Amino acid sequence: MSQMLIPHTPAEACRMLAEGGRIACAGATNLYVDRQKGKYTDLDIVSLHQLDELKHIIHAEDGWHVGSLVVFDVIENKFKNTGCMDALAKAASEVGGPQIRNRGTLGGNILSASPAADTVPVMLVLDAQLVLIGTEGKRIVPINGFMKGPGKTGIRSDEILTEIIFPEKKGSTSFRKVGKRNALAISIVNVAVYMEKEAEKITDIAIAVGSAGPTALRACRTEQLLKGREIPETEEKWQQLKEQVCECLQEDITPIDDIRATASYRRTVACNIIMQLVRNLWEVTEA
Amino acid sequence: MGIGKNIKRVDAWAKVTGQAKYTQDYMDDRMLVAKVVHSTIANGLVTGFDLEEALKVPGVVKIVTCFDVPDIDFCTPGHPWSVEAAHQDIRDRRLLNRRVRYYGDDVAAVIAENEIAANRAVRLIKVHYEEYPPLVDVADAMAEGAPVMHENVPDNILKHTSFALGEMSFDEALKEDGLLYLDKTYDTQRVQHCHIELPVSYAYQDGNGKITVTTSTQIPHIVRRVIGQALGIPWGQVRVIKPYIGGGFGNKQDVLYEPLNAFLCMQVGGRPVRLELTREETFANTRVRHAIRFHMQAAVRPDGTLVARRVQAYSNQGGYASHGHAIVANASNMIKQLYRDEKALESESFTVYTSTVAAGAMRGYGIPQGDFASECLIDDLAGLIGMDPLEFRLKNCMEDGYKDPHNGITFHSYGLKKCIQAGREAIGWDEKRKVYARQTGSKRRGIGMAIFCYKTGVYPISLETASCRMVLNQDGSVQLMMGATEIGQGADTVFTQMASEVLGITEDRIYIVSTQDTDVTPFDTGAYASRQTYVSGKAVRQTAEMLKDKILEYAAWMLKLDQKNLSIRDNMIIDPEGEDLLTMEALATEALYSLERSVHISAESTSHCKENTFASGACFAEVEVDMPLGKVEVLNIVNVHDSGILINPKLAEAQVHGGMSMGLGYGLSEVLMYDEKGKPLNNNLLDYKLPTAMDTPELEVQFVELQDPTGPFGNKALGEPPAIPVAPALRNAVLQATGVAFDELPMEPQRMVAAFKTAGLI
Repeated sequence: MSQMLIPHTPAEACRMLAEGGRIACAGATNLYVDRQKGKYTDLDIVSLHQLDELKHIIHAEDGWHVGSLVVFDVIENKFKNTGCMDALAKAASEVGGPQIRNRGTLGGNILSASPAADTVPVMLVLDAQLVLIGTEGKRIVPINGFMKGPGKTGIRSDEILTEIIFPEKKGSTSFRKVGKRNALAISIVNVAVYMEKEAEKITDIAIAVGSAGPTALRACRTEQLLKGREIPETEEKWQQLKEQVCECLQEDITPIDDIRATASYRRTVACNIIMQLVRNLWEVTEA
Repeated sequence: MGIGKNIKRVDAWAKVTGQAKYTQDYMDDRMLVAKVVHSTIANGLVTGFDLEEALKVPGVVKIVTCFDVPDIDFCTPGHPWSVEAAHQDIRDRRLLNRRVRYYGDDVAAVIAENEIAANRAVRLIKVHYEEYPPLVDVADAMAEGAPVMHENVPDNILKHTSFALGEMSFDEALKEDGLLYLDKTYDTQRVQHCHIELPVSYAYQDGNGKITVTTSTQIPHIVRRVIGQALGIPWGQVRVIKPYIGGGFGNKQDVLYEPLNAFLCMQVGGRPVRLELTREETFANTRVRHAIRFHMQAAVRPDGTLVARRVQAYSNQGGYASHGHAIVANASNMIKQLYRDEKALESESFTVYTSTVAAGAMRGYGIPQGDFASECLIDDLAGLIGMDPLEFRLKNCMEDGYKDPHNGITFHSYGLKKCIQAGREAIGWDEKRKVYARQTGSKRRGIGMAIFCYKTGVYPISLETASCRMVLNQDGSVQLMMGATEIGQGADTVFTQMASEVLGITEDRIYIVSTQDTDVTPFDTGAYASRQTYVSGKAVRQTAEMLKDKILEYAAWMLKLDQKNLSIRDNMIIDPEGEDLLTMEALATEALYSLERSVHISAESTSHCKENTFASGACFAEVEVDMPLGKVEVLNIVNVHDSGILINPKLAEAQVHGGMSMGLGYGLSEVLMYDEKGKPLNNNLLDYKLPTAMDTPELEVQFVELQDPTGPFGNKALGEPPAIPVAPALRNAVLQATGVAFDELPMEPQRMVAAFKTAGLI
């Protein structure tokens, strides 16, 4: 039978985890369901919920510092309509339902490492940095490359995630998810786009797709295709661009068939969402 | 006071404050806990068990396996027992089954001191099987050489029926020149009821040998009979209590785990044993809506006359018969009733055993499936001849006074065309059909409709009987006892209103006993078939009239007046001028305590209902389809119902809201999936997608209120109908929006995207 341990400082949490046979949890919204299914039932739980020092949101010179235990509901309210952080608010607002958004945390969304995690694609396009502390000290790593596969990240067994740093960005972002219904739905596909433009050109673009590979991933080839591109002037040219994007994207993503959708659906819809978001970002910035 | 008023639900306060007691509220921790061991293969035979490790778990009291149960096959559906052997329900399962017929079949049960011990033991039990190939679909089960699910049904076809109507055969009718012809297949999926309260019961045996089972059921008197049959004990030795229940929708119109629960308590000397299912078990091991495939052929004249139809329906029964062929037969009958075929209708129905969970009753009892096929076909035919589908319906649908040629059920109060007209205006059919006729772009809008008819109760296909008892209390209030059950739909409230209407006693002075206890409660078959306000309502009316007569007889004696000149209004005995003569309180006190003439005034009667009538209605929906994403947004939706006089309009509206929500899920997102081995894939509320509030548009409800001459208060069926027409109306709206006909439910995003790609739309 497993037991629950409650650390009072981040350092204590790391020491507890270093013992082995233990799993850290924040909001427990995933862990609860996983344990119902029989996963992790033999592990002790280190519950981080009392670590108030990990619940901060600070705007510093180098960008936003968001504590790993900040819950989705707070993210949504804090970052709604705040420039490039807006997509993070949007993604947070579409996680689960109100109860889950009051419990689930940004850090948990990263460390559960679900390929369908809603906030992760946004963090990928914003080049977020993760601050991790362990028994041997602190390190800062980019989120890009940190996700290793379903349920797997680069975190070490004695480490906890303390904060996420979002560097200052001047462009704008957008997020869209498709689930089987409009709430309480795990994403079938989700997409975040970051865009900078000048005159009639896309000067910088980042695209991340969730639920279309073993982890949420950056669509690097598609980004290269769009970077520096002039915005189409006619419907016909938009259509041509869409065809190029779709072709290119197929190399970027590796979706699978599962009970929520087929790989083929994900391939089609990922492309359709990217085009919707790119066009919306273009037109909104225009206006 | 009385019917037609929005009386507050009689159980509102208790339910809102959490004081209403449900089965679980009566359980305590001293009860033993039973957990069922489910098979991990879909088709096969249990050859043995390794129980040693499980028996070592501290707290385990006893393990019972399929080798330990009586050699009795029993039936489970909530039908009145037929006294004719040929019409009795099919007895094809045991308390625990050696022959495994679906993934999750009940093969053993653990009784333990607590839930943790029981669950641990279940995990440690090893079951040995001889495995047969799974039969997931009807086609697998009907294939040559398929393994036999039940020995006495060698071809796996539980039942096959057919009928033909019209002056000639379908093939003959097709010979007419100039007809347009359509051949299509429509598929409906397996869905689950998803009532909030999970199936739960507890059982104990007292010193006199009586076994009491308290359970969340729609059909307490039938549960009593089936427990008796399954255990091979006298039915009177069983007592079933039904407290408040948190929804059933037909799943609890089946006897689920009550017989096993009763048997298990007898295995431990009568100690109380509780048996509570998880949500996962409820999906995988109780009942589902039948997935039915309809092969439809039809011929239509260019002027819009429906000339002939041929229907072949294949119903996936799952591993056990449960309600069996009654479901698809109901669907096929409705397809017949709803439209006239000028020359021919041929209909053939098959119910086929497969190795999946048993399908049973679910709100609408086959009609939602049949209506999907019927209403898709009608729109497809209208499209074929370029006619407005609404006009096509008006031209061919059932008419006033329709009488079913087979069972004689008659449309006594006809509101179908009025419903079509009301919906047409509410949705703005005529303008919007034009506006949406030609669209470009990736988001398109459309409107669609569907109609239906629904009989009220089961007469004459089956028995309709209901009883009621009323007792005058010492203070002039009335105790009302019904065999009919409150399952959340508001039955207790409308029965109270009916009693008040007849008795002249206000609702606050009528105390309905919500709990059914088969040792005390008068007989009724229970909540199903949208029958209670009609059939049990007749029992209320009849019993109230008897009670009123007895009250007035006593009043006449007290007042030394002629009974003919007396009446009751607002708890007072009145004269023909409306003058108050005597309070009910004074009358009742005198009646009970009179030294001269003490009478305990009460009445009890049975209504054996030998009438039926059709309810009908229509759904109109306006949708926007985002084709690149395969998403349907319902912009507007209205259900219009012809259900006779409404006893409580607000409750009626709420009933329609619930049904529409169920229809939205059926149309757009719900499906219980199985893998090729017959294992359920999404038997939980995370992966099985009920619509949430965020998926639900404003639900508009209208009624066409006509007095039905056969209803006790002019009323007819309303419980199930709201769920029926929604899915086909959505499908037809998507058809108008995009030109793509979705012939398989649900209209999920990925299915839509694939179809739009094929159609070259995206």
